[in-house]
Amino acid sequence: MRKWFTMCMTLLILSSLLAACGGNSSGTKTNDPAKPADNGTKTTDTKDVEIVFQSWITPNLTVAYYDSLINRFESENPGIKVKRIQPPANEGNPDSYLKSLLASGDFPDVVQNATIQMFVDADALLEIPIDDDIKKINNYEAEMINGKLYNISAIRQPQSLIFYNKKLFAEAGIESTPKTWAELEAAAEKLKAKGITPLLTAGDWTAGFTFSVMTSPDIYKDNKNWYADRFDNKVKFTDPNWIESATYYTNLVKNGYFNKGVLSIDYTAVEQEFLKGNGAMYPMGSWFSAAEANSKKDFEVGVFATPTKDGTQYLLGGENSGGYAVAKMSNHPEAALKFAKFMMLDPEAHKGILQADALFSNLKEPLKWDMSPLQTEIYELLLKNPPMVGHMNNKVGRVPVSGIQDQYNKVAQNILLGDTDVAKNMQSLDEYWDKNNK
Amino acid sequence: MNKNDRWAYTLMFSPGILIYFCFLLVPIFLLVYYSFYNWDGISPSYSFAGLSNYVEAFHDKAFGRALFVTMFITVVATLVVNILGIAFAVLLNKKGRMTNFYRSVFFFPLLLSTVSVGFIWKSILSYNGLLNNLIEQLGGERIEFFGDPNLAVLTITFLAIWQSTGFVIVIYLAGLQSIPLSLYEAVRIDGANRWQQFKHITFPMLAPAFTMSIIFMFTGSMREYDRVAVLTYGGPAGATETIAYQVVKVGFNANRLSYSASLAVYMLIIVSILAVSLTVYLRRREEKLL
Repeated sequence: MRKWFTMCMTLLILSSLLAACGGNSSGTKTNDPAKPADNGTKTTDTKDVEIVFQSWITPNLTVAYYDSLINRFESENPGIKVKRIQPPANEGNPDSYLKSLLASGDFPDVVQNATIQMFVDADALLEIPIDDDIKKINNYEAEMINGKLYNISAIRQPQSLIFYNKKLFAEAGIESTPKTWAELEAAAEKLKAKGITPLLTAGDWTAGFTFSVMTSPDIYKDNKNWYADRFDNKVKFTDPNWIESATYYTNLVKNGYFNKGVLSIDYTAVEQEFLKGNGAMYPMGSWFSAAEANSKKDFEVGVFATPTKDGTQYLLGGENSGGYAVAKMSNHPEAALKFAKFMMLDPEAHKGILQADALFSNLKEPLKWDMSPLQTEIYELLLKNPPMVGHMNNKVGRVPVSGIQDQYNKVAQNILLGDTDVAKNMQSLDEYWDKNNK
Repeated sequence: MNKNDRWAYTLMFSPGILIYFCFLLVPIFLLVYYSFYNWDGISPSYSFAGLSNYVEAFHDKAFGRALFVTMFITVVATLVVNILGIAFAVLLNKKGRMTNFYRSVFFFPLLLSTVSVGFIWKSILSYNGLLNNLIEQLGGERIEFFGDPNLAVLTITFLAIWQSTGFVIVIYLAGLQSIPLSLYEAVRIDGANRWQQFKHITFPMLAPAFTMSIIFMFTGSMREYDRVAVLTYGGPAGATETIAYQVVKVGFNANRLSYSASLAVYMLIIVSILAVSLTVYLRRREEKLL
């Protein structure tokens, strides 16, 4: 009896442990590297199905925002249930989380804000058919990979912007916003002479971002395929145009135009510094205008495009990037595609995401939302701008090698630490590229 | 041992062995396996790379720097935590109205998660933080705790010491309570002063606790990740990157899972050799002293 009891208990414990080790097999098929998934053209019944949606939660895009849209989608599409999941931490993008889900065979049916190229390379995303819905989006071809579309996005997110404190500009006698490098240097000198900190940045990712938005527009305005050309070894970071642009930035640092203790504060802190009036210019993406609209301060904020050498305006940023994508291994691709389209193209959902994150509609009939005066200024800058390309770790003809943003940060931090050897710093970007281009 | 006992032991051992096998041995095997390939951690295919990842890591300056930073934090934190641990344990090893309160105060930092502690200290030590505001009000210059490469490494080391001391105190307190009081009475009769009592009785008798604390601190510090990720993100300019931080960064940011696996294997080998050597040395020391 005792023997049988012991055997049964052993089997029970072992089976429980094995069950605990197993993954959840519902929703999507396992992504076995040895067995690439099929072409995802299965037809499935869209009734009584559950799709898993990986949402992207930020201070602006809240759980309540998603849940209200999901409730509406479910009531308009009886038979389709949406289960919302989210990464455990905001690491800038959900890629690490999605990679672990893909490895465990739990890749969601709909993903948001992922690095599309990476998951296309992993054969994990469904090709989006170009139908009348997709044709409502301006320039939807911008995000195509090898002539195929894998994400649904109709938003413009300008990033190479400099927000400025109108009161401090007036105190320093600056009458117009700088358009050229020389004008920016002159404005910074006037501000410094008045004891005002001309430029603000921080030591975390903000350092690399600031370096990139202040140097890249001059390069990419003349070559909108720069990263694709870099893959083909037609261009390098040590080319004269990059060296000149990086030298301009290094001189801004050398001349003491940036805030003191820059490497000892982070993005959250530097945003507060600007909103407290402790600096005149703050290079940042359009999302800052959402924080600005909710802040209390005794000065007005204006915005201009980061200057280029000759004064040509060329904004960099997201052009239909991110957005929603559908898993190739989804058991319910039609329902998943329907939901992804709803989240981006439904007027209420579209307006919601634009307003929450201070984005701009890229529909052929763009949706307007209640913009603050600052957001209206950004919108007007965008109207004068041709389609944008990305920068740093975003697509400029092609998505760059993974992790290049870490090397941008390193270069920018080196410059802020006083390393003014521009050629060496730019060469480190080339070295990173070559080493990681595998 | 009869047959029934064997079944009973099997029953008791099997969950532990299975967990150890699934969550430790299998991942280590996979780590070593992937380190010989070129895999980005996501693509359906990967190719054999032989020893190329190991050769590349051997010449990688950033990995060399990370190894130095990790060893610096490990050696300094292990030494200082143990010196402070013994000192505070001796001070707290007496009956008094406030003793339990002091023990709780020292142990408290360990109850907080490293990430939470990181954020708290960040708000204290950042350039616009509480401490710098105080320094400025007292007429001093603000200090760049995270902006100066050397100071940033020291700051992370200090926080590791601050958070780990409480645990080590508890280990030493347990060790102190196992020392027979008769030994102290005997040396007191022989005229030994407090320092001589510590040197000839307390410290040698603490040898098992000393071994445990040194190994605990050493292996823990070699895996330093959370504080770096919260406080400096490895910056400025990579100055505070530890091996564990670099393994994660290379594997998940640069998508070079195989290369990061080779870094992790190096780390495993280094930690194993040092930890085993330390354990053997400290066990022999225990045998000599006790």
